[in-house]
Amino acid sequence: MTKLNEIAVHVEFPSESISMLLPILHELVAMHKTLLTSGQNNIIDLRHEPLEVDEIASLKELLGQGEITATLNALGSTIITETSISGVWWITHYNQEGNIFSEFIEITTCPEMLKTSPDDLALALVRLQDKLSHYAHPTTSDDIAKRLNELGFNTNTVLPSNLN
Amino acid sequence: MSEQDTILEHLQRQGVSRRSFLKFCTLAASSMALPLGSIAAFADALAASPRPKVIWLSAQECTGCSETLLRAYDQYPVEKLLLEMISLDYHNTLMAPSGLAAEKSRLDSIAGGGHIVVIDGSVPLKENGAWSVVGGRTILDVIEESVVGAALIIAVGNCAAFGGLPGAFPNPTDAHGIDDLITNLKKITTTAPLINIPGCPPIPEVLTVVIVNFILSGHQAPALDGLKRPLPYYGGTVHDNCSRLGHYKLGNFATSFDDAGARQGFCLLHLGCKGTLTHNYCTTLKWNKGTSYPMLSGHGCIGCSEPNFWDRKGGFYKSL
Amino acid sequence: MSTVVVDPVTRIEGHLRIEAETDEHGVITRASSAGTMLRGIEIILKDRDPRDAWAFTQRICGVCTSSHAITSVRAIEDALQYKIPVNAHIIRNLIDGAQFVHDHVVHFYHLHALDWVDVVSALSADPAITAGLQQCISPKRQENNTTAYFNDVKTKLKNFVNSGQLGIFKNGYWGHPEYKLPPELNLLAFAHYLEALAWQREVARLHAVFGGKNPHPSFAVGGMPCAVSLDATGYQIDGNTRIDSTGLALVGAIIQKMRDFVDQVYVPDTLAIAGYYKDWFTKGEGVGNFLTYGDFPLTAVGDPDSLVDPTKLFIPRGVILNRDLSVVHPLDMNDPQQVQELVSSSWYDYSSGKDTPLHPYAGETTPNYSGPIPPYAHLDVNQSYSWVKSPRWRGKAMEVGPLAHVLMLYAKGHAGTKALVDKTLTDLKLPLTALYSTMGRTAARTLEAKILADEMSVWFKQLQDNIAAGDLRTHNNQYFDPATWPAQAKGAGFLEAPRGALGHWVVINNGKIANYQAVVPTTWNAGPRTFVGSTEVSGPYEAALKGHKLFDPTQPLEILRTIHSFDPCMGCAVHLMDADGKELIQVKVL
Repeated sequence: MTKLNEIAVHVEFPSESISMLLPILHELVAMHKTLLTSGQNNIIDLRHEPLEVDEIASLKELLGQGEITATLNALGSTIITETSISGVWWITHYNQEGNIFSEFIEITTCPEMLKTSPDDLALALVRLQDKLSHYAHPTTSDDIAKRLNELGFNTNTVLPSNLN
Repeated sequence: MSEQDTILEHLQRQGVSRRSFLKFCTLAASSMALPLGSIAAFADALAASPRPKVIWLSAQECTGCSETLLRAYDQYPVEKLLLEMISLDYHNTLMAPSGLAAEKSRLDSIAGGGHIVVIDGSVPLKENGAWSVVGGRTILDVIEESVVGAALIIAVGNCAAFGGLPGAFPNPTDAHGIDDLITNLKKITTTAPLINIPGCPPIPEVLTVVIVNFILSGHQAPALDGLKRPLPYYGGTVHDNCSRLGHYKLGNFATSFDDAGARQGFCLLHLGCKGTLTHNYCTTLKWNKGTSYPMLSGHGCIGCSEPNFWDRKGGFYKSL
Repeated sequence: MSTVVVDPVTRIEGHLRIEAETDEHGVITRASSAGTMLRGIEIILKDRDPRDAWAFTQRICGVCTSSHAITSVRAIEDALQYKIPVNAHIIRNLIDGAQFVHDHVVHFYHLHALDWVDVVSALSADPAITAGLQQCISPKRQENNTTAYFNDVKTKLKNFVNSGQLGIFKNGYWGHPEYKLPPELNLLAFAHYLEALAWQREVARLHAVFGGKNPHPSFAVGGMPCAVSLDATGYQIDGNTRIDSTGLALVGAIIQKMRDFVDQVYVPDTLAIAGYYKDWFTKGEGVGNFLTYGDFPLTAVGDPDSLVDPTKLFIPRGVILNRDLSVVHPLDMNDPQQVQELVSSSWYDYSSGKDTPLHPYAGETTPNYSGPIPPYAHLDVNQSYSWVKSPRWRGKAMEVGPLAHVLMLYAKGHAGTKALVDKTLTDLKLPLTALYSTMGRTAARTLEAKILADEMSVWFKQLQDNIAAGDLRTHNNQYFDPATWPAQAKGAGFLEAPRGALGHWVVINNGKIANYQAVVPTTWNAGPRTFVGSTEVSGPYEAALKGHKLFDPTQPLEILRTIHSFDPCMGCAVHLMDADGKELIQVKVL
């Protein structure tokens, strides 16, 4: 049985040139306070911050890796991770060629993109009901062969049974 | 008339989740280098409107520009464009109905305005336009009628942009590009913005991205150069990114199509390449899923995105 | 008696108008086919560098984007007696062959299919039965043949229709009683309509390898401009040009992709659909005469540089008259009595009179638009009514295109073609005469796509073998410099385009084009009627439409089915004119 003291604890050491990150770190602290006190979410678009690529990397290293990593597969991958700071999430958008085109930090209890949108639920229910009816009343191989013969097609070139 | 889905509803029906939709908007905003706030604006725009109506009018065309549309890769291959992003209401080469039924589709689409008009081919003015007639009317007439209330006019291909091949010397049919007809000759009256996407034909992804970005940005045209070409694609020359640029700088030039230099990929300047003068995206994005472009396959650039390239003195094989 | 007007005829290339006179039963008694747009490319070519001509003429058409370019370089090479390396012949064959296969598949699914396939009916298809149907008609197909797949397609279609914006499918003739396919076959065809859009993008990449881009790949007089990629020591290396192992591997993969799609999708779909429209094997015959210039030079590894030899072509040259396949008449492109053009019903004048037949070398072109001033409801079809001229062979109207190709191959004993045609007719339980029809022409297009796709593997292997044997040559520079040319030269280039026989005739004076003339496949097929005395000689379109009964004149599906079976390319068809009216060829044929 897993014991509490077996949960890994990570210790991080900051890399150099952290001074360039001080403004954004201050911003993150302020946003985190806001989340804590009023529940309001915030977001930083890293592409529009005056940061070099290596500075962004330093920031990511500083914030560290948390427990959760989620991948969205749409138009390329999007990786959503909670950093080691609870409530601070790092989102990296890749395009279909595998290049990063956007990075965000979200200060939130759960990024919008992770949640299922209520908008999607109604149509999803319809889809689920469709599947039910499909499996409840499947078209049998016999039905298929019969119909095809009616249409004048020769099913003697044995109809493979797996039509799914 | 039945209710029309908004773009968002339409995508949701296709099984696109809200989160995918948000990623799509993020990608689009990023490709236009627009800030965060725009994503919410895009989402709102798409949530509010049906798929934009697009009509494609063909004048003195060779159909190469329509064929190039069919070759688009990346985000908006044609089936995705037509089924998800726009409503292509009129296109002579693809549409199901003919004759009056086809013209009805066009008239239905332009009613109420807000549509995008794409035009390929130049327009002849000889004999008051009688040398290019569709449905018993001159194409000039049809264009004039169709741009009323349009949100955008796109002149696709060198012919619609600059008069192209029919406009080459001595221009026997008195052919003109669309901008010329609007701005200089005052044959077409419109307040709709015009974007030129020249090339013979243009790279398909340039066309599809310009159309979609116009929609997503809430009808903002991209930054244009002095010839009304979108700067992101026509801002640099094909020379800037050519794979043979290194040889150009070293002075390695092929002297025939199959000499030792040609086989090593030497610069094609002495075989007439016009790449240094040609503003286009061919060597950046390349053609047909990045397969090649004329210089990589051994032939010099003929300059097909520039006005009057057909008439450049000395022809295609004269060295610059 | 009334006239049905179809303008624009959509799902073609270019601008075509059909006026069909019908009797009280809705049967067409006389049809008139009119090309309604002119550009004047020929005068534009005057005085230009002949080496540039391929690029100008290529833009006659962006659909058959390699046909005119190849014909043009052949015309210049013929004029200069300028031989090209065997690799260049093969590469041109591969480009041309790929053009055929791409063009025919796109034509079938995206231009023609909507005449036979009721897209709205697909909404009532059972996806499981559709999957069964797919597996039944194409057992070799391993993908996209499941219930889940067809359910996806059906859902996509349903969502599209329910969106309220039907786009290109709006105002189609859905529900017309002439649509005969069961819903499952409609769904199958719609699925393939979408698949073919993705497929055609991929196979166009072959043109990009050899020609840099598609549409409008690059060519050159003297061979092909695409040199094989080598390093400084002469070894093959990737990346210096596109003709490297990556490029050639892509070409090989594309050829396989073409063959797979043709064999597993295009052919089975054609046969399945044809089975429901057997009545269309008995109507829509053109004129029963067929003409080919021939094409696809036959080559062998190690061949020296050469011109195109009209006696060594994969598609042979010749003329078939009155459906008689036992006699193939020889054709000479230079004989003034054979290929001729008339302007009897066209908007041009001849100094010797509109009804004088003129060989291209002796032709004239003076545009004279005598039609109504637009906007107009009708053309006067009892005088001139088209920008398209009327080519004739020894005074007879000729059909060119896939049916002509297939019949020529059949008549000349090409075993593969004979086997394929005979099997198809047997499977459909039809006689040979069924070929002379709308559906026969359509099926011929499908069969020739298979024949050529298969042959591309042979040509590609030859190219690879030739390169492996050490012959890397793709271009002969011998006469590229105009300083090496004689003061006067003239020549004819020919090719079989996907739509049929294409010829370019050029005269060069002092290094410049003095005259340029093209007689193009759709001109043969779409040309307006001519007369022998008071007897009308109809061209193929007009002849084919006669006798069609229209169920509903406001939905002229029957006209579209037959016109589309010819695969019109009007940009090509309209004659290239001369602004002064002076024609073009001054040097007499000796």
